[in-house]
Amino acid sequence: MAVAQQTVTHDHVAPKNAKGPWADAFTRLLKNPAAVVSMLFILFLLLIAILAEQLNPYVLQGFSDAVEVQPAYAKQTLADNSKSFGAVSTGTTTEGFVYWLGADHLGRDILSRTMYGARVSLAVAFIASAVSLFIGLVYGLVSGYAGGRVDDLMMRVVDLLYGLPIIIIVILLQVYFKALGRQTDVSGFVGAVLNLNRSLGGLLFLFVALGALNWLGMARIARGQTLSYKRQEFVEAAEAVGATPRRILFTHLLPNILGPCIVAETLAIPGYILTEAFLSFIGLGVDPPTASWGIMLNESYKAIRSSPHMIVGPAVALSLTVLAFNFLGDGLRDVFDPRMRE
Amino acid sequence: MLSYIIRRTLVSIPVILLMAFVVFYLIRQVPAGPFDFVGDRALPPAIRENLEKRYHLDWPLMWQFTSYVVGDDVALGVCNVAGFIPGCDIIKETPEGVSRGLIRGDLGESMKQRGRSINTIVGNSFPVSLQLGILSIILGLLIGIPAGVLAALRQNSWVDYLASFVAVLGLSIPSMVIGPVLIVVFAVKLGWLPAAQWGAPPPYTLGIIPPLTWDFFKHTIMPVIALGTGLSASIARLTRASLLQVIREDYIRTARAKGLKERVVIVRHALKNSLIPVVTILGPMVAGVVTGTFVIELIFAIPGMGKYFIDSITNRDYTLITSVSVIYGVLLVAANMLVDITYGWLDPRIRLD
Repeated sequence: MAVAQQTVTHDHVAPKNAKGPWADAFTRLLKNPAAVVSMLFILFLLLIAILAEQLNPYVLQGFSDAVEVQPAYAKQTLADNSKSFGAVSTGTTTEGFVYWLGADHLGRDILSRTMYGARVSLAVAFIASAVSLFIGLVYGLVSGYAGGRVDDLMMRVVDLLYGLPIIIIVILLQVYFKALGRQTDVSGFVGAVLNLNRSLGGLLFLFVALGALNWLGMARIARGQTLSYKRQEFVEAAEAVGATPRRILFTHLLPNILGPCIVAETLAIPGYILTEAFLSFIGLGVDPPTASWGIMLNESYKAIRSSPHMIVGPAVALSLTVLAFNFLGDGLRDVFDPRMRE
Repeated sequence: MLSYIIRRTLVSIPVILLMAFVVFYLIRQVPAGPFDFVGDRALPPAIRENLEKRYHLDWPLMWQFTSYVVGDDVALGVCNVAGFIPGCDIIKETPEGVSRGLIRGDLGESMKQRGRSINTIVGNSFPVSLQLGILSIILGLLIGIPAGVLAALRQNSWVDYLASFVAVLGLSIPSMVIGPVLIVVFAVKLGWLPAAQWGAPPPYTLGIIPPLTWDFFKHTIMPVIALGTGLSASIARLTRASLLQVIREDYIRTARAKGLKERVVIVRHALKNSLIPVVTILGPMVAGVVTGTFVIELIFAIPGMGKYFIDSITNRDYTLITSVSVIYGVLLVAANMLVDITYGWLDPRIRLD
């Protein structure tokens, strides 16, 4: 039934009460409980990420701020935690605030840092995927629509890059960007970019690196989609009335291929989040003291024998977030790919 | 087939070289070189200069790369014959050669572990990473394929739902979470398994096969589970989806109509075809396993190549970084080629030409 509906919308003779393809897809998505719960969870996380400062009483983003809560672990007898200095599994500050998830090796509240970590992961999820979607879409559209030798050449480039261990290049890019970020004496545009990156805790370059990592797959999908649409009547009609290639690409082809591309991108989001966590874990992601789940996991695995409580916050948060995006991606794919429906 | 392999290999060489050059170039652009510091202290300029000369860092970049690929003696030889090429004046001043070049199988000399060749370092650490990676992929296949098949055969039953849910869960919990949790439970609390190190030191039989002793396996179990869980999850999902598609094909109906046993229909007719997509993701999966080994080797303190690679980046050990990257590149290209060959073998409709 839904297939029939799609054909109808393509022919632009939709019945009056028919919803657009997007609204229709959304209605169908709402019938998938896992996807709905995931969406709610992601919204909840987004809220936490935006309101991180307002929601938690400790401003523990920075190193120096941690001094304020030192009384909390000073009150703990060090005998209980003889092996770990600042890390305590429970505690109260002098103001009476409770460490729900304990404190880390520097005495910082883990719950607060987990909340701040949501910022990094969600920013990566949305911005890096937008970067990759943008580059991949434009590249795939142009390649598919141009066809012939241009297409061949552009796809050979993608094939070539696809065969390489891109993660190695990303790691090196991050090393380069991080070393560059430490230079403070640069002025002009580059200086401004470096400053922006520093104020974002190294996130800006992370987006670039992650986007560079992942646009290849998107370019392939966008090209495939473009090829399947470019010989259809509505494109021919547009060509016949003298529409410019740019207009055909962006007002005729783009809206048609956007759906599958967004689905593919959503399915790729867990990858972005995990790659950011991976890079931060090996010390090449965001810059400390910015809280990132990857950095927190790194800190906690080093103290795993003495302070196993440190892993709970970031581990649960990271796993649940990836889980939510996986469910959402699966749900979206089922909605947009009629073959997946039984 | 042979000509296909040869052609693929020939095409791969420039790709690998390009990657080597990108790595070679990028790492040299990063501020702070390998000889700027020893620990926190800056090296005296005279010593630094000597060390840089020793490793040819004073050469023009293109010459450095050339000698990395073809060997110092070749670079010197070229300069002796054609001294007018820019940069030759510097090269002629350095009579001592360090590297015999990639093409002769010399990966160079480490800049941080001075006097140790990369071949030795890689020779000791690569088999360890390979064992970890291969065992994890085997675990992934051993769990993933049966789970996927079971879920597909009992589609929309509780088995299917459970398997699918566990698979998404497995996909979502990264190895950097599973690893430490395993350590807490089985090493710290229960004390059953060792938390770190690798059971058997090199050399290995045939360069890769470890002694199959309990001492080896007790060190291997946790890292392999941590790395293999995600793999088995994605393999299970793919097997399920692909088998569901194949089961609806006409030739399966034909096989059933002939009166074949259900087991034969599934194993001989459906499974083989449904494994094609599984084989195709094994190529990209190798890339994932490589990144996985970085994390796992850090967590479990395994002396594998990933750990050396991460260390060498902070150390700015130029030769080690470039050479290990080249090895990863070759590994990935080889894995993709192997996948394509298997692909053609599983599905005769796909011709390799």
